[in-house]
Amino acid sequence: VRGSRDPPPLLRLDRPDASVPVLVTGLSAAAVLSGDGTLRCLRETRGGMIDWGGVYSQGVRLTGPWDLRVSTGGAPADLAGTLRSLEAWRWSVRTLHVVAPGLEVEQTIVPFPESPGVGRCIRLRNPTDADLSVVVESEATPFLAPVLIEGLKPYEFDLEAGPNGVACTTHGHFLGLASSPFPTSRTLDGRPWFGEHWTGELRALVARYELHLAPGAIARIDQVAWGGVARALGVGAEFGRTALAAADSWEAAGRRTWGAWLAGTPSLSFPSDPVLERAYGLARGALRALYTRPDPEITGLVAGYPWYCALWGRDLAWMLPAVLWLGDADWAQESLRTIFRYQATRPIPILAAEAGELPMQVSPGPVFLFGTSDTTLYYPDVLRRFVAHTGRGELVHELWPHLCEIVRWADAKLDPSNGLFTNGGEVLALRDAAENLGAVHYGIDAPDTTIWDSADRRDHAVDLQVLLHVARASLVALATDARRLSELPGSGVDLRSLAQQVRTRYAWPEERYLFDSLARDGTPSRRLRPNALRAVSAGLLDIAAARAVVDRALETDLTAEWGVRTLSNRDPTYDPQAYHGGQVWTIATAWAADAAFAVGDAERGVRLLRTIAGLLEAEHGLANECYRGDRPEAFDSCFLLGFSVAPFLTVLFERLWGLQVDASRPMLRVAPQFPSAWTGASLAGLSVGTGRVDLTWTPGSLTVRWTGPGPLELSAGAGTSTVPENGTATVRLVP
Amino acid sequence: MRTLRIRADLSLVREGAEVAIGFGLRSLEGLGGVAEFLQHAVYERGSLRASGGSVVFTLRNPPLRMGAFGSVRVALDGVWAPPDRSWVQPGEGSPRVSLATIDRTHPVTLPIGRRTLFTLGGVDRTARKRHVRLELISVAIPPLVWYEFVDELRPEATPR
Repeated sequence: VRGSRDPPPLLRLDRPDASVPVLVTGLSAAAVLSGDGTLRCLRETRGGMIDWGGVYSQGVRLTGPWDLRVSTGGAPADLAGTLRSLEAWRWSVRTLHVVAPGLEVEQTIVPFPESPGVGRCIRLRNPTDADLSVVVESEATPFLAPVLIEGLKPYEFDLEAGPNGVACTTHGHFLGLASSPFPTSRTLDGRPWFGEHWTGELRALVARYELHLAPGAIARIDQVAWGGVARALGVGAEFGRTALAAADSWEAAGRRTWGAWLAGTPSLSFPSDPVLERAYGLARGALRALYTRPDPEITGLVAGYPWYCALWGRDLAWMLPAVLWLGDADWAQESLRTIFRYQATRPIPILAAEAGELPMQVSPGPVFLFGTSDTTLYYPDVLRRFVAHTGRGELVHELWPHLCEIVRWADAKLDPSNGLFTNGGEVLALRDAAENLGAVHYGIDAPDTTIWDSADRRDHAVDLQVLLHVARASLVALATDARRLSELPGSGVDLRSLAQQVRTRYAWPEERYLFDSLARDGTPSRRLRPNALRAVSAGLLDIAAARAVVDRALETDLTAEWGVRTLSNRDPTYDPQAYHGGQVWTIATAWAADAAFAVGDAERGVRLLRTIAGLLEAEHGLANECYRGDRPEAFDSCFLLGFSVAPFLTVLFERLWGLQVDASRPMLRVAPQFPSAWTGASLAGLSVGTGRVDLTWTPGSLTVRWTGPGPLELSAGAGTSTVPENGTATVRLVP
Repeated sequence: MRTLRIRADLSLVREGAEVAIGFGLRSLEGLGGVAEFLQHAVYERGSLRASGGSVVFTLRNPPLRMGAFGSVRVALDGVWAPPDRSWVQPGEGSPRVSLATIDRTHPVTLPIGRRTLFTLGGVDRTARKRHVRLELISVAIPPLVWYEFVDELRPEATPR
């Protein structure tokens, strides 16, 4: 009865499979499990095996594995060995286990939709005709480290227990554990513990529950793990106890929250390509799984799970266009406000910040770091898109001083000798700043921080010139629309000259491609990377050159069957497991799809989208960050990365459907590029300002239904037309 | 050296003030907390000591980068410890691995939150303040990761 209203699960298993990661998220908290039903998740990470299972909240990993063991007199059984079924949705996971001599253990794990905690319900049923004495042991490993600090775990903790449960703290981070009923007893690393204040090293905190089940009887244990950054928690010590009182409604609350969000997003139907249609639904859910509002100051989307669950400025910029197509304008607006709130107002060398720079990372605390060459450049275009989707030009006025700072920041990065944007040296500056501080020093000799931030792409990476072009054009467009063009600081960026430089100085005639970068002295970097595709998408190349770039990128040395590599496998430095030196990244596959559509090659564009779609299905609605360059195997890869879903979604709307919006008029342009074999497609519930659009396409014909205020200007087919308020129009399209 | 330290400390104060002015005191607290954690989370202070014919020390976490390393080398006061006489024991109870045998096909994974013991043979064991530098190369992400600390090398059998 409990599951009768559930949609089909994303994942259903009838036997344990520890290799499958399972993720459930709320806006503040998340749980990471594996397909054996345990809160463990052993995963290859940077070449080594690391366990990522447990509870996360506010960007802090609260626990390592959080195990359950059940015994009925004999040896305790763990959950993995007794799993009979597992069903996972975005908002909850349910598992069923059978422990000899037949005790049924049902476990439900639910991250709270907004609060910083995760609930775990355990139901035990005795179907036998004999009394059963049952012992349940819940073993939590405190972790309490912010995920933005890679690979570090504290080893000393302060603990005490009282009526609100266990409170565990270290270095300003907090883990609370509460349960109903109270445990019969507790141990710390095997030693009995009665809740008194305790400080020291700790591996395992065990709560033991002794139960007696008569034949047919059901017992329940509800547990809550909660916490995060102690001073940013926003809830009191009694949170766990309060949450336990509402245990019966945890799962319904999660389902309701997801349902409400999904109802506000467009639905897409591709009868000619069901795989792509299903992938849209999976990618949409995956993107929502990354939503975060860990405290009132921070709204956005985390970059990924499990080890990138913080706000990363670059990743957020790639995700927000998709958020806008999904109609969540308010979320996009608050995300933009968050990222601009942390813009550096002056140079801060110990944070690698230049004046005007937008942050690389933001976590609750707040803790933020800078030091990328590209993050800041994304945001003028994201803001332009926001205004186009929503018509809310007032945000431009609100952020105007920040936009002017971006102009100054970018100008300071221009090389006066050639007018090109300069990347490199960001992290080295940080090292210099910290050199004489403290008795401990550390660093990574990364000379450069473009999107491939472990690769040295100095001094003038091609995609950064494209980004600068897009950013400057967006700034001018925003200023023009806001009637503040005269107030926009003068810039050394000459759009025409910059585009010309990309076309000429980066031209790589032998490869019919673009050089990846130029040194200050003009020496080209002859590394074949997918980044040149961004020039195609931005329309900086003439059509013949653009087609040649797409053709070259899709040759097998750069493009594998499972996606596009970060470096050609013919490059002497190619390494199939180097993060940015040969691995396949799905974001690069989305770039290739985008560029293929940009040159009118719908067949190849759709083929690339289907590559991503196949991965989304195979990974049960998660989307790996990257794969080995020599075989389709995730390596050093977060199992869900916003990079791997958001650009896919954006290409579906902007290239496959060929949509462009301007909510201020309101106007919709539709120039679909469906493959020739397709017989139909539809889209319902697209937001344009405060209105909604439904589209139905058949070859040669497009029907548009508009429910917004006032008429909708429609640009499709041979010219423009008008769709009346609450009306419909059908236009003929040129095949 | 002293002058440099004072200058650096003053610079930190100034930058801290700039963080507080720009983003509020809470930001400064948050950043300070993370910095303090970073300072204490890797090298186990006081663990640098002479032992047998070697120098040993302990890390409680991998330095900055997690995962497997295809190259690990350690220098004491700027002199690299001979890899064939140096070992790493990644986690209590795990076997010792000679630094000379570590490469991309035989990497070593430094565990998170567990003690990793380094043993350096063929190095100067003089008990005084010593500078230790580790350099590691991940098998997955190329740039070199380095970690340095300064501590008093304790003579053999000196209680910590």
